[in-house]
Amino acid sequence: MSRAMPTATRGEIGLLVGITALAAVALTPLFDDVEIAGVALIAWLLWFTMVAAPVGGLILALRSKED
Amino acid sequence: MTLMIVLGYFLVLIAIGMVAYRRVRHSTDEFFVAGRSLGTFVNSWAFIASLASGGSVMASVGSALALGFPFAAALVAGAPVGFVVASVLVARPLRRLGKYTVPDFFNSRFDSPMMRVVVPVLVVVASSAYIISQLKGSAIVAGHLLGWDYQTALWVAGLVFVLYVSIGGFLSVTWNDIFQGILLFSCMVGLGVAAFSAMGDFPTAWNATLEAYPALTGAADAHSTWSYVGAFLTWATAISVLPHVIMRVYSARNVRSARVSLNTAMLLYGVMMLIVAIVLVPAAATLLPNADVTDPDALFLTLADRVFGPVGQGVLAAAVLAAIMSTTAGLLMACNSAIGHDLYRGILRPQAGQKEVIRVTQVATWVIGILCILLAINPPEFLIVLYTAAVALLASAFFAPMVLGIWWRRTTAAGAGAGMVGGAVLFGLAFTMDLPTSSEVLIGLPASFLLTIAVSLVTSSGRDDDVRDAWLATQATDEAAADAEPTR
Repeated sequence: MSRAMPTATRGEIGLLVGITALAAVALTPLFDDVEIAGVALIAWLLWFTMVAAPVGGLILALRSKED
Repeated sequence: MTLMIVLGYFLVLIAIGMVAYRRVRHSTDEFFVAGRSLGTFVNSWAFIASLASGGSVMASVGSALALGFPFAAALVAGAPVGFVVASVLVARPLRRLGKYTVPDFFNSRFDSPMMRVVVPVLVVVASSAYIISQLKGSAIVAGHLLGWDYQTALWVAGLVFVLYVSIGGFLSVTWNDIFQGILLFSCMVGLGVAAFSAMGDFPTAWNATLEAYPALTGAADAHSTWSYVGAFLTWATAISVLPHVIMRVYSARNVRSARVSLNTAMLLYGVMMLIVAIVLVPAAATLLPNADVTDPDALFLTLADRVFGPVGQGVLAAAVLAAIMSTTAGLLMACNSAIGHDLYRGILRPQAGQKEVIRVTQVATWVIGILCILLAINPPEFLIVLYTAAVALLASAFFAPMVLGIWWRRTTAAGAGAGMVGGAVLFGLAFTMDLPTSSEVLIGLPASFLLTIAVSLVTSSGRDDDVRDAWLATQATDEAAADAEPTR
């Protein structure tokens, strides 16, 4: 009988979906002209993604019980 | 003073290599993955040293001023995201597999004669292009800081890291990476503090920066939208297949440690890049009013000269060389293991003993290292383009077959092979066309996914796949301890 494929947790799937959504919003041309405090939205969102993604990944990894 | 500090730094690297040699000379497990004994602290610093190269550190300030925050953000944000993607998609399956290299995964999952040759050859070609560009960078830095001519700096820096990689293997690379990672991070924080103190009132400096460089924070119109997407996507996907990153996943003590260290390293990297954006960029704009932004590397060093004394400049020189050498050493290790482990032992002499494989790998280190040094003496004009393309090539060829091979049951060897070759070839064709910078991956990567899926659907028989099941057997060992709440 075939073995089961690897599985991902809801948290891991949520993290990947969140990163994809943030990147999609940041890189969509529709928001090219949007600025916050004089800085383009794309820069704000990408800087935020750069820090938020590892924070999310770290929380998931620390909560994991595997070894 | 700067010369003494840098020479002392080189001696420390070689000494670490010699100490590591005593542990690794008899075992391929020790030589290639440091006995799979590396803990979270060690691997976190080693990951950050592996990623932070000369370009990402030295060019950061000047690139932001020259290209604006949006494109600089797209360039640097992809890699931290890529490490998180790797920690979710590939870290657990690869660590459980318990092998040495990227080709090992493809061999275990697909057992394809074509992949046994194509994967290591692609690894060697792409890594060599990367190494040459890093060598050129190290020679320029050493020349700028120490007053050496280009060739002298190239040979000294090149031979130092070839020596410590060849004698101490991955353990030597790792110990040196820890040292280099801590040195680099400390110097970036120190430079941030010194620059912050030197530039005076921060709001005034920030406003002056915006006035002097109005394009810095403006709308994202410096490049085509496809360039932003391509730059981000290249690194977000390539990290999962970069051979010198994957070797660190294999070397981790366990799955959890691998995943924690991947994310910790990127948090530290993110802090470094925020120091660049928030402090070093306005400091450079304020303290260097006539800065030449067409030479971004020199801008970083000029800023350091402005805010540091002689000792600080010497330590920073060592830190910049550390950033370059740690990445280069990891890549050289990826090349030598592809030759010694994957091609020599995997194809030419499967019966070779551990000592013989280590000797072949050490010879390969010298051959590849010296070839790269020779090519870096007269590097082609398009070298920087070539290095970015090397990373995107690996992403286009390997990402789809690896991720689908892990997560999609119906992926077949024929499908993965078609995706791998098709992704690489279409990326190469796109590279010859006049497309926006960094956008070629937007053709190679989707094509690789489509080919892998389409050919797998056509060739999948629906019957049990013994090779796939043998690979899945390696994944079941820690199932009881795995996370709860699986969703599919």
